[in-house]
Amino acid sequence: MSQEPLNTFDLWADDFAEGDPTRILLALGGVMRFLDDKLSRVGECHPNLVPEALRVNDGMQVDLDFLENAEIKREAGLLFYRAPELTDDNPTTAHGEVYALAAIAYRAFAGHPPTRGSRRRWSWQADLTLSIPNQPELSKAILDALSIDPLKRPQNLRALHTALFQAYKPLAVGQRPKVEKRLPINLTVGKVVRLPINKVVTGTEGWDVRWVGLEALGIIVDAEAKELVCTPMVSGELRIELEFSHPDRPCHPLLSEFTQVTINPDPDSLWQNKDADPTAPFQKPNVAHERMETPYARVFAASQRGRSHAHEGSFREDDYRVSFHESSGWHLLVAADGAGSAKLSRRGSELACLTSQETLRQWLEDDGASKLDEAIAPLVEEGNAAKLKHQLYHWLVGAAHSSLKAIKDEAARMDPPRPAKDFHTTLLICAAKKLPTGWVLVSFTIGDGGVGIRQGDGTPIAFCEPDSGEFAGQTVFLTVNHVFDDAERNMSRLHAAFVQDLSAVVLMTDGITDPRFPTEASLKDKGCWDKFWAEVSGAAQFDEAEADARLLKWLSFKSAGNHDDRTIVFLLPAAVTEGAATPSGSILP
Amino acid sequence: MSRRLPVYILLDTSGSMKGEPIESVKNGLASLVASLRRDPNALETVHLCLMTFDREVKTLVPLTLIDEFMLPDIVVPDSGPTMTGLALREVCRAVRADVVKSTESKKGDWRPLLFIMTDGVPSDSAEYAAIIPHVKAIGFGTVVGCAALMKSGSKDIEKSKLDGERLCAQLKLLCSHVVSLDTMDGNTFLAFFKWVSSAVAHGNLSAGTANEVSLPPPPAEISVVC
Repeated sequence: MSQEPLNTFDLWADDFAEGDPTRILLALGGVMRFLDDKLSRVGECHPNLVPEALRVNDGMQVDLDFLENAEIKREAGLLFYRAPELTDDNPTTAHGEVYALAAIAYRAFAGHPPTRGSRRRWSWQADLTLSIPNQPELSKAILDALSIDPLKRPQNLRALHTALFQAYKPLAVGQRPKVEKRLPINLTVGKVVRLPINKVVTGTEGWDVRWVGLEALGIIVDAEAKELVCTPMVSGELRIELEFSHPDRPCHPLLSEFTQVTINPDPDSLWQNKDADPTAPFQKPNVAHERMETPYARVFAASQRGRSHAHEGSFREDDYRVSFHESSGWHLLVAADGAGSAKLSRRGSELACLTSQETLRQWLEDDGASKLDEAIAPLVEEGNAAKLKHQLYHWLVGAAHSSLKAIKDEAARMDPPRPAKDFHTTLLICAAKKLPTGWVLVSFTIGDGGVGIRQGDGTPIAFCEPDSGEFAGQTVFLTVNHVFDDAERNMSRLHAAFVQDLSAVVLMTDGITDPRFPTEASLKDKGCWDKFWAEVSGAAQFDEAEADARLLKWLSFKSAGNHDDRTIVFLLPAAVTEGAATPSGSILP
Repeated sequence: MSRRLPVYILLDTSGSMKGEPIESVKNGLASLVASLRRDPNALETVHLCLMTFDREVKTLVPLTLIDEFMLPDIVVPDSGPTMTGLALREVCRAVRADVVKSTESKKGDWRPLLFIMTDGVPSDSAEYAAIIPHVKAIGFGTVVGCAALMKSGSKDIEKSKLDGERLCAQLKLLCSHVVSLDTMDGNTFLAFFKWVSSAVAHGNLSAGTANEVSLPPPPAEISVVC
């Protein structure tokens, strides 16, 4: 346990602010009780009775061993502490002991002895003053005990003890400022927060408070609003120092305290942009974009590597392919999203897009186009696209299935052979053809992301049934086992619609649907679509050149927690449909 | 609100953790939180819940976004049982209350992760056995058990080895991964929590399929039990 001499308990030290004169008084009280018990009975005053010699431990107990053990001399204590009436012949009396203890108290509080002059030549002061902050009565009680006239002093040590402790007024609770260990909230670099000062420090009435080095952290004290205005510039675990001084002792800070604050970095500053390994197989550029004009439509596509992949230096795993089959008039749109957990998913999505495109085209070449036309013609009249499903089944499910086969074949051919799950990918297929009275649209999807149709009046059609689980990120891939085994589910993955007044068809991977169409319900919500359409058409300016490049730029929009690859494919009818908006089309149930 | 990655950390604070072990755990936790704060993905998604268990189970910090997380003080009683089963029951309750599942109109959280660090076999073994199916039913992305074995500190090497084997066997019933820390020094804990943080940072990138979340390989200080 550490010990310190009583005279360091003077008012210039932290101990005053630590609480008050309590410590000094308690220490003196110990001495007084001890002397009352032992010394006064034999009528002696001890030479070691000076503040420097009284050692006090953390528990405010005076170490009295030196009084017990040292040889007791029959003489007065040091002259400073000697009452005026004492002489060498009459070195101690009860009054003299009271004076000696009061002199110690005086010195401990005032920082100097109650006498004037040097050690050898000194004189008592009749006009002695003492002013302990907030303790006028205690100050007076000590001065009383130092009266030149011994009869004006308390009668003995016990009386002095009582007098001092009765005069002493403990500081009211809260009079000492209370500093919280931590700021009540964490801060973030660049984010402005106004924090009431009383959430950090309270009980400052009567104190001058100085915040040390606050500006360097980007924090300003708004004294008027009693707030800290925090615009942190550095991140980390930081300490803020507060210094308190008392108006009675203005030149010294009496107390300094710390409060801890956690400042988070600005997440934007943490993202790194690393290129993927240039020697790895299946290279894929970080971005891709294109536009395609057909006699009937404009198609825009863009794909952007996500921030999370750029941060880790991994490849873009999304892909897309768009084409136009001239002789049949079908627009073929395909997008795919490789799984983040699969090592070669960038190739999986590429193969899925390439192969399904190829298979879709081949089927049209092989007489499929005319069969489809035959099937479509009578249904347009009815406005019932549901009956198309058998034709579609072979075309679209066939295309998806062939891309699975292509992936499996390539995985098996690798050296060493790899499992298909290394190529996990989703697949969104959509085909669109202009009819004399509108458009026929068909789709087949496996996994998340989505396909949507916006009609001329803004009414959306959710043109997919995304695969999702109970938790985020759970989905189904083209490449999981038995994905095509359930014929009924294959049917429910198929969608078809006649849309007379088409505004746009959109294919999106989950990098876009997660932030913009977070739930299945939102894909059907006109409000969501209106907002989305205003955002994208405003950003891309589809009527102007390089809309595809602008679309790509838009794909880097920021959304907290959504940093996946983003791929979008738009089909917009070439000319504005003439005439008024007609009733919406039907879709497969 | 964007999708959260809920991470539950369950710490054994039974008497045997008193002293250096718990101080090391605190340091480890501090570095875990600090390193997650430096990861831009984690900073926006990871939510931590910190629970301790000894005679009783305490939720020191309920599920809190990592940028708002404040490390609390962790107190270890002098002695007392290790109520692991009771603690897991509380975890199940918390997950059911906290974690949002996807619906047609609601966006679900990422699959929650559970890390449990303990140095002793469950005192409430019947409760422990009974709660395991419930933990499995939650569908955690991963459940990692960390057996903090005190090889160096123990006098009876044979006995402590046996205790360690018993603990690992118990953890295997619950966890998808069990690792053991062979020494209780600060560096080993630090290595463990570093690994936890990389596993957590990984957690929302690899949650694609319905299977387990894949974990990065652990560092040398940690031995993989299963």
